[in-house]
Amino acid sequence: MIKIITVAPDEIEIKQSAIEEYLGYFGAKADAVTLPLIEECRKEILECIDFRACIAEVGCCENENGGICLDFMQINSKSLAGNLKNCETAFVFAATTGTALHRLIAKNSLISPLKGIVTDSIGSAAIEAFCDYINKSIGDTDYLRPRFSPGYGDLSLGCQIAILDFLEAKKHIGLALTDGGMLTPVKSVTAILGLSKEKNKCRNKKGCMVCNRINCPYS
Amino acid sequence: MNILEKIRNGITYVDGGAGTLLQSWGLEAGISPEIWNITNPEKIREMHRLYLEAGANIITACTFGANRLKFDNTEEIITAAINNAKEACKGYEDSFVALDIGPTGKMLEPLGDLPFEEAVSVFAETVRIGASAGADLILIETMNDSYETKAAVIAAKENCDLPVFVTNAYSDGGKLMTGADPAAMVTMLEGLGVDAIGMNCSMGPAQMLEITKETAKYASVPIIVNPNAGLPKIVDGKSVFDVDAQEFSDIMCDIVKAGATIIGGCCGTTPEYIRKTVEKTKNLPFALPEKKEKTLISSYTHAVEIGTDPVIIGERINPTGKKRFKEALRNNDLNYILGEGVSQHKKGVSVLDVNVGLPEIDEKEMLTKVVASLQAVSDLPLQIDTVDYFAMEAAMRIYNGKALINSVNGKSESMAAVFPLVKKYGGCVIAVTLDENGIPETAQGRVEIAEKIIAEAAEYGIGKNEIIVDPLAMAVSSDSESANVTLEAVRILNGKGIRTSLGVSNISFGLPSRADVNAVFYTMAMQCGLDCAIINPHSDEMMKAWHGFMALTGRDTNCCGYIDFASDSAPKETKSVASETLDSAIVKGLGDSAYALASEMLRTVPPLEIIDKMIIPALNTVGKGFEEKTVYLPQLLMSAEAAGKAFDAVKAAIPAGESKKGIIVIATVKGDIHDIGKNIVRTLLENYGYDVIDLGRDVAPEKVVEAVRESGAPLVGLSALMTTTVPAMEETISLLRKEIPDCRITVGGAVMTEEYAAMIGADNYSPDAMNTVRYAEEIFS
Repeated sequence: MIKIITVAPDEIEIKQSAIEEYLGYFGAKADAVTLPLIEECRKEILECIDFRACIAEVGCCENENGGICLDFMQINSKSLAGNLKNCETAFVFAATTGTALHRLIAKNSLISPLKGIVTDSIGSAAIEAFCDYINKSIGDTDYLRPRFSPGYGDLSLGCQIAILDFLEAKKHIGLALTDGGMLTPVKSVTAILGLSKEKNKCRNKKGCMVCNRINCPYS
Repeated sequence: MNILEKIRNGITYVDGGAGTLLQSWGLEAGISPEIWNITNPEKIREMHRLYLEAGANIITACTFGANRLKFDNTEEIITAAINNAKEACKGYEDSFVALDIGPTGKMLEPLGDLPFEEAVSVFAETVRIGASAGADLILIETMNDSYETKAAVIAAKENCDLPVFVTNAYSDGGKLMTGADPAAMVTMLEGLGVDAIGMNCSMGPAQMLEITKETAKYASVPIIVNPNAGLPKIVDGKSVFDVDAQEFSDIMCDIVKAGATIIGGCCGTTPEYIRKTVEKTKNLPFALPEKKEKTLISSYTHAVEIGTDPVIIGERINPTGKKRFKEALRNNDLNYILGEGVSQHKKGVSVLDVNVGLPEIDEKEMLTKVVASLQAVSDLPLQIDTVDYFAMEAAMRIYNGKALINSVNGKSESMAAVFPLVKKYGGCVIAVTLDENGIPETAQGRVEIAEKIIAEAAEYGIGKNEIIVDPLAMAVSSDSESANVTLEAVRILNGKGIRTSLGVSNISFGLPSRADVNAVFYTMAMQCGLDCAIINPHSDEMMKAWHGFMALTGRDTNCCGYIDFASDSAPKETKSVASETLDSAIVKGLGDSAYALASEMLRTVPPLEIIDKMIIPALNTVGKGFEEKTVYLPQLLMSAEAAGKAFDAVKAAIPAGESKKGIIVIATVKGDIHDIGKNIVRTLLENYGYDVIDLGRDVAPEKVVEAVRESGAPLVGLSALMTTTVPAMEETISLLRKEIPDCRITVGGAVMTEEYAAMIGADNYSPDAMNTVRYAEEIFS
């Protein structure tokens, strides 16, 4: 069954450190001139952001080619197979921050490139925070594998077509793909989360996207 | 009895969900029900019969997703589906077959990549097949995007004569996924001439009750409500909906009482739901919605009513008398034009006038481009302002909502050209009180022309409420009675219940301190009942007049709007620039100081020297810091923007032909809709003095080649965010190499690496925006 998740903006904490990271501060703090702009944009975003996701639990197993077989699709991805190793079920979800934020980023980029990039960065931090929220809402995160999205490792972006179709994402949350394989509205994510009987050994809280670990047990 | 007679004579019932039923009969998950029209026609007919037995009048043929984007055999499926439904309906009195049209599954531009006309074409094919197969009506349903809804309605209207019913899928906030509220949807759809309007899917009947009430406030055509059987939940490992037939039918009674007259079900409902609903509602009082006669225009999010509070229409998107705006039009500088829209939005206008007419440009192309682009960044309704009827039609067609049209006049030729467009696409139209005999000198003469225009509009089926009369403000400096005549005309028209509008600033033509005269005249006109005015919202005097009027006439509760306005417009303490130099102002990102200092400096220093010896070196200091990672991206951009302000100050003083260092073409490649990185590059390059031709995003290789060839740019910058669009980048590079071998190419974007760049044949890899600047300096040195 496809479950729809909607969350009020104030329930998702968009961390300042995450915004600064997207803005390229490399661990430094935002300067005194940029800080008020971040606050101004954050306020604008909170007025229009529309967190929505659709999620389904599916069976999963490894196929004979070393790829992975989910209820609704077969994927020849060794990275995902590694991530889902020993998982019998997985959660597949699509999440978005809505069309109004998409438009706000376009508008603010027009007002000033700086305002545009600040809005964009807060949007990136917001969708990541929302994905973390979804992770937690699924259950005991100790048993969930790190979130794995198309584009990570050898998991092709092409599989998003099957994911969105399966989740009826356009109908439920207004999320679609362009012919170029991009999610629209921007600041949207599709992901697969394996549920294992063993505790998750990964301690990288930022997930697979930014992890470069060699010999990872989950990739 | 045909379907239109049926809906006007009593409650009409639509069938319920198909998926639940068909799945219980063996339709596997992941298999499209449309296929069963061919492979299991007897089951499809049986489903229809069960609904007919339950009391449904409208049977939706199983064609929801039957379009060429999803199926190769569209014609076979649709024809079979209509035949199945017709076969099932045999013997059932008052039964009608609807060609069911759902969304394409793609997102339309500008949010996605499906062009509007392509969407129209996809739906048109479905409509033609369905109509020739014998459908009785078109049901466009489950649309959660207003723009896609419009495309489907236009396709239906242009390709058949069948009645068109539309139901949208609202989200739990009572809006469509792309932002429209019920008022906006009713406004747009009634403008397009649909026969019934409403909602389906997404939610259960209880949640739809409020949306029904909201729709009923605006709708003049019958209202359709087809809810889901509540929300899905898991019971004993199976997915079920949480509202049973009993509860569903009880709430449907309330929905009928709230104004719906065409009712049925959607996901999770079965014939039992429809049977119970028919039983409980068939004896309820039947009343069609009354004609609302409101004057409404809309955008893709909301409607604006004209005739209640005075509406401000921002006049700044217009080249008349604006050198910089004309230059932007000639150079295709959309960003400047859009900036005018965004800044007026911030000033509080409710509608943006859009006039891009210049003799030397293709107005049809430019107007559609500006309308579409403005709708990507502003949710205000637009006023399409042109005397070119081809441009007017093109813009009305692609406009996402119901536009205000500027204008029609009392000449037969004008009315014959404009009214058919208003009838087809919907729109409120400004009617200017002049005709073949010119502009009457008296108020009564102008009112007579207004009445003539209204009478002629009625011949086309356009109501008086869609006409907003502009009795013309003429320069008081050349005729001291002119203001009196105009105001008198406003008063008379207002008394007759006719809406009015004025281009206010004409009144002061030829006078000094025009803003003061305009503001007084504006106030007087509002007092006479003026409904809307085209004004410059950047004029404090005009905005003070409007806010003051709102407060003084009891329209501004507790004067909150006025107080906010007054505190926003109070003079701000400006920082002294005495302690800054131009260099330090740019380094610190102080735009206003940079502008003031550069302006001051122009008195003693030649403009090019200011650029080369002060602005660029200051920017270089920051750029170097960025490269050394002591300065971060926001500060770099802030400095670039401050440098931009300094540039603006000195630009006018630069002799023609000496201003730029060289031309660079930049673009995000085809298929890629991300442009934030590319925009940063543009900002930096421009503020380093380069002439940047920004082709935007999703740009085809041929377009890049064409721009490089036309401009003679020796350098091209290409951006791609995703791995899926890198092939498009490679294709662009290869075409450039073939057509313009001397051109240098630098590439950047999230997925790009030095190795990747070399592999696809780029000359340079730019890991960040500063690198592009450095590379440009190298090329142009």
